Amino acid sequence: MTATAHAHEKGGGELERRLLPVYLAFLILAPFGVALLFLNRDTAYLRITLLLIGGNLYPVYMMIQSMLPVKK
Amino acid sequence: MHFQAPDPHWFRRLNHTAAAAIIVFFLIPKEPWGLLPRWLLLLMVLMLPLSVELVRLKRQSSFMGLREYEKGRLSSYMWFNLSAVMLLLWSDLGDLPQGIAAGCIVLAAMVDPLLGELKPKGRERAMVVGTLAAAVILALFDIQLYYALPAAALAVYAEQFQLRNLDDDMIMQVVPALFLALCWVIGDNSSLLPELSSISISPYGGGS
Repeated sequence: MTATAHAHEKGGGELERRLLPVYLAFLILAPFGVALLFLNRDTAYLRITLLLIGGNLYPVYMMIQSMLPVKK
Repeated sequence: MHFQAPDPHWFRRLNHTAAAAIIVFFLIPKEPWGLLPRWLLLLMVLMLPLSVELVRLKRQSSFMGLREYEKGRLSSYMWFNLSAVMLLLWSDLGDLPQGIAAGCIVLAAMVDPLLGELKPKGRERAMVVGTLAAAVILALFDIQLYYALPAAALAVYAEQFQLRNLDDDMIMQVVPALFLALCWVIGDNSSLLPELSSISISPYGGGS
């Protein structure tokens, strides 16, 4: 089942169905973008950058893994 | 290529850990574009999820990532947002050091899902690992380990309580923040936690 179809099945309306892929992209990119912003300010904030990247890497990996089409 | 629907479990976990990105607030200038103070901007941004939540509650509906029991009550993500905004405002308008606010928000964002993953494998081990992880997170925000460790233990211990009216997402942020704020005040702002009084994440000021 595709992500948009899933949103539809959960009782979501047209808006939710359309917004889900956008939200997923935001969810995956936002923490890494913010992490890079901290790095960009001052190298002293490298540990906050690493914390944000390290803390989100595994959940992002697992979620993307669960979204990949199953090979037959 | 059609992607599958994400696994709701990992979708929920990622929502939780990604919420740590809210500390980007401290990188926003005090008055972006010289128009609005950033705390007002934060409240305006909060209106979006709050409106969605109010509509959801009115319709008694649910959407992806929510648990069944959250259908008729304020959802966990809203509890998290409200308490994170509260800490950010306390830091921006009050005198809570940025390191405490940011540290406690990141702690709740990352340690709660970690506990959720570890608990099925053993509750005691989960609590020990969770406490250590929380202490390391606080220490990364320049909070001394002898304050970070009890604050972390308090956060993990408080998370165990299933309170009727308060969500653990709020408890895990507020309890260590109150403890650290108390240490900071009692410590005469300098002698006990000198790093906290000098830490400032924002290059635009805001910390002391």
